Amino acid sequence: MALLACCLYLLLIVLVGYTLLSVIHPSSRMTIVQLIGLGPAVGAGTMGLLLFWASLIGFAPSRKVLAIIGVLTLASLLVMKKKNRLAQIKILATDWEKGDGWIVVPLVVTLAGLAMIATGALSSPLVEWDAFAIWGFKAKVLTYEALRLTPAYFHDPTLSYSHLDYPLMVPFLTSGAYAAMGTVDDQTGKLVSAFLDVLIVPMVYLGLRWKLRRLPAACLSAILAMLPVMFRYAGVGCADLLLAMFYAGSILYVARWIDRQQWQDLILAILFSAFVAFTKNEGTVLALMNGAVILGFGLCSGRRRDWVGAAAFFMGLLAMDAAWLIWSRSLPRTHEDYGSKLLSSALVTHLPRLKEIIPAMLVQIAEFNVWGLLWIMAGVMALLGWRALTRPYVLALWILLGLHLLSYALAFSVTPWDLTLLMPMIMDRLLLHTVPAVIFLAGWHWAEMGTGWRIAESALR
Amino acid sequence: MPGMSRSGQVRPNSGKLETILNQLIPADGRSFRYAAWGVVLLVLVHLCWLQLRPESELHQIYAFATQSTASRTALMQYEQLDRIADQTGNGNVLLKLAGYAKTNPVVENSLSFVYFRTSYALYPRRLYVAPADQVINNGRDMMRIEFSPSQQWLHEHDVRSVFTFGNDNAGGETLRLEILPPRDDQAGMPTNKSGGN
Repeated sequence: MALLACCLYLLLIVLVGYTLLSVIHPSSRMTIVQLIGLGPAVGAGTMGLLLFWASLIGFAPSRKVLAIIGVLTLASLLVMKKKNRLAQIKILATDWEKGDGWIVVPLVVTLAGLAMIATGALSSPLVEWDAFAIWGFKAKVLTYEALRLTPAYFHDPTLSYSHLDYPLMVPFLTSGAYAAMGTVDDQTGKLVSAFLDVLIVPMVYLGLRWKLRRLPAACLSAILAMLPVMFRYAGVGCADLLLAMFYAGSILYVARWIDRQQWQDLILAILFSAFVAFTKNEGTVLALMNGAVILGFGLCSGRRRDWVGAAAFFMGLLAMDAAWLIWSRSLPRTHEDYGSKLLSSALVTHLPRLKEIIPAMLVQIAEFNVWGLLWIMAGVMALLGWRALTRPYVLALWILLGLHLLSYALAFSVTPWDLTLLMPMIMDRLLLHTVPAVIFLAGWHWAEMGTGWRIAESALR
Repeated sequence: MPGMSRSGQVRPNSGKLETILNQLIPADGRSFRYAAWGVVLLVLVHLCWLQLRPESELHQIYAFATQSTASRTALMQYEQLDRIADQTGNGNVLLKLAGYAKTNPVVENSLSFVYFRTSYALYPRRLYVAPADQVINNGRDMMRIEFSPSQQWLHEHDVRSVFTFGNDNAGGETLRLEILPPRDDQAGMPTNKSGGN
């Protein structure tokens, strides 16, 4: 029964996402991959924020709250259906091409990987330390109490180890599952974690398909699904893969906006960036970087539309995360508090620690048992498809990846933890956040091999 | 288009860059594409091979899914703390350190685990290990505080059991749960239950 309730909750998430996508892309044609990848991703982020806002006005996640969201969603769908504005679903994005039959191989590999993740998630309760001490704990708190009168938990320094100031996307999504089930059952609740974490694979596939043919995109997605680090962190109840999934969406639509200047892309970039900022503290920095890159490329192009887009991005981001930013301002920063440290003079005094941190990052990406040959592959692809560097959206992604790695190196430099203990413990998890960018770059460089040569030659003539 | 602005004009610098790079990497597109395929397939095969090793994540997940002896052993410490949390009834719980656990840094990690896991399992009830104004981030913080509340404090905070974490004579780590007598029965003797390990 609990499992069924959990599945209904996931269905609601998918419906919310489909509704929003239909609002953003009215009367468009949506592929199956968009439906199962993009829809639940948008739905999950929206559900997390909706439950947070409801809790702020005094309603902790409950079946009643979920029923209201469900009724509103169905009503919206009915209205859009009547006005013929619902997104249509089609099986294939483009016609079947020669050699696409081989897609069955990466598809089987991907499904095997995802099945392993789901099995692993459901066969044990929350056992990862961060999963129960931080995210699971918060989910329990939010299930029992609304945020209107801030629960005592959030101001209790004896629970500082659970990072009182961490954002609440994962706890609210888990709490929503507990509400649907009518009980706090963390083993069944891990189904939500597994479902949301594996969404990164269709999300990355969508980003690759934007520029690549079906077969190479499927192969690169299979590589993502089979990464040992995916098995290590997917479905365990932590926020890292959810962050990586939202981040994949945000950088994809930032890149598309830079390339095509379509408002729909900008809206999705804003949505995903807002979700990223509400998932982990580092997400706020990543969202601001997305905005900075949109602004930077807008300034370079000098066109009014790009300027307005950058301003709209920052305003949209602020509007969506304002409640969290205001509410969380009073939370005690009794542990890491990277935000204040990175903005203080401590950053300069700790810069010499980068001499220790950067080599450790390089050593980590050479861990074949964790990453396979992913990073080497990305380097080789960038070299072979170097012409892609002339594309603004590829350049933008390289800049985002560089800023991402730099921000993590700087955060390590001001950490209160012992670096020799901390880095081996969490380096793989943090670098996991960059994996979507790395795979997109590999794919987008691949797309420029051959065709890029001809285009470049003709452009020079 | 690479090397072109959006108005369709060729940007002089990017064209120059491409000319230089074309000389440095003089291969045609097709051989590049073959090389890319080779690299991608190699990476994919390598990843599949990684999962065939006995210590791989696939084997670990299989062990958990089939509830092997190793996985049950790994879960035992979690289940033990969850079970103890269930035994504490309705009230809150005090975590007390005993013996070496008060000073020995070796047990910091285990102490953190006991506090974090039991706090999670107990919620919305509480596991107290320090006064309300003390910051606890790890086992060392708990050892530093040496919390020893009065009977009145225990009553005020609805503490109905005491959970003792300490070392036995052989140097092992033990857990003991003591249910406190009901408040209106001050003369009653405490009931001992052992979580043991």
